[in-house]
Amino acid sequence: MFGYVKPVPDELLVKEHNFYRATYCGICRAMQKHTGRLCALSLTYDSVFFAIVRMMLTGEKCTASRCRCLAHPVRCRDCVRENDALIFTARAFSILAYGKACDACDDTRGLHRLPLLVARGVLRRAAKRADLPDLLAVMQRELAALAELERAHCPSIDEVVDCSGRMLGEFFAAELVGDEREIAYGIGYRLGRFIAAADAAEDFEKDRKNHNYNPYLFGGTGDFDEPERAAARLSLRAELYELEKEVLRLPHKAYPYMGNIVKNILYYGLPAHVRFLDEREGQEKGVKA
Amino acid sequence: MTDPYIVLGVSRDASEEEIKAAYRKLARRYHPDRYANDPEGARAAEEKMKEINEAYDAVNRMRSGSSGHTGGGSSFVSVREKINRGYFADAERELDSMAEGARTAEWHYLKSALLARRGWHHDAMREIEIACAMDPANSEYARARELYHSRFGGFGSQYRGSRAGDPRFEGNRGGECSTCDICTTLMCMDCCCEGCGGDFIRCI
Repeated sequence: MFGYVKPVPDELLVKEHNFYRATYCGICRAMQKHTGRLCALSLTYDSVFFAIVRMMLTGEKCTASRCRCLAHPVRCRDCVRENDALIFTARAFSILAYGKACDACDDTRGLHRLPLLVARGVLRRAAKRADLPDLLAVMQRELAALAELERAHCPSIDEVVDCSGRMLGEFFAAELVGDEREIAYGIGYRLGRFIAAADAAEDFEKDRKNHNYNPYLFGGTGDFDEPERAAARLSLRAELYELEKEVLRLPHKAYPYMGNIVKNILYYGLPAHVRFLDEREGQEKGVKA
Repeated sequence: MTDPYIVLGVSRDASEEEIKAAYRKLARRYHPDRYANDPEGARAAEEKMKEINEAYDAVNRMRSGSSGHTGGGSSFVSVREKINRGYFADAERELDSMAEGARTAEWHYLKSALLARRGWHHDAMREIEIACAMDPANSEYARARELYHSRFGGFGSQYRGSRAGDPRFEGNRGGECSTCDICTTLMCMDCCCEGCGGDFIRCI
């Protein structure tokens, strides 16, 4: 969940975009306060989607204030005041960042590993400060399951991406109950699957060159030409179709701003990661012509 | 056993299409969802459905001769029945327990239906492609494949008209800072410093 879940700002109303940025600032401040300043450097825009879904489900009150920070020392910015949803988002994302750092450390060799080791050390402390042992355990369990499937060169793409789906599902649903929990789990599960599948499709060429595991490499013919690409495109759109079903269960009428941001991410931001498969195809055709 | 043609309500010289249409019509009429509030009726419909499935399979077997569902024919009837009744886990277990040799086009088709129900669409599509490749003449498999493409292929195009998918809006990414932004900011800072008597960047 790093860098994939973003809206297309051109399609947002100005007030919606301001709210989006204010939420980001709010999460950043909450992260600095609850998990440490260094950890806040790992924050990504993906966290805003997480926070907005949570605020829509819990009905958390959002009030804005003006604030200045180290990253924006000159201009005052709108910032959503700290609430439970933002604090939880900050804590959950410090754990996800730690997981990402562990993964990157395992995959990298040589001198490039040094800065990653430092980052992992910082994020380990932040994850400890986040004080969510259940989520930390879920993440470690699913990453271990994923590593096991990778070792076994699992040919089923769905089985591989399901680990990420289950993990994000648990993160979204944590500390919620009843229908809210069900909706949040559904959104997290589908989003996690989509991100993992899109990431694998994007990394195909790199993984083939470096002889790394990639589900599209072992699940198909070993090539990634038009038939495989068309199948990947269709299955990614199928994931979005399932995600849409879950997202439409959120209380959109009660929260129109947040609803529009979530819909923008679903209908514009995420499909951009499917369209790269078309684009490459177009470029190749252009070269041949 | 009653004559399967009578059970399906078709004549002996009916075409394959007519038989399939008759089967689908009956399957719809006796679908368990229609009897959600009527347990008595649901039981009767279940019995009837079992009879219809057996008749349909028997007709298929008779028509395709030895190339039909040899080895797994009767099992597929029970798998279809379990799917119709909503026992998806049982149906999947039964399919997985079948030997490699019994995995006909029908096996791949049913597996695909179960995977799609779980939302595992990539594997589901792979299975339906295999089923279509093994039995290209089967219109049921071809229709399922077609349905996949039409349902998922145009995702997002219905949202706010035609803009989703418009390449003009694709290059845009939220909240990023370009190299131009950085240079402009540095130049502005340099101007400010020079105005105050200092020099932030000497070469500009």
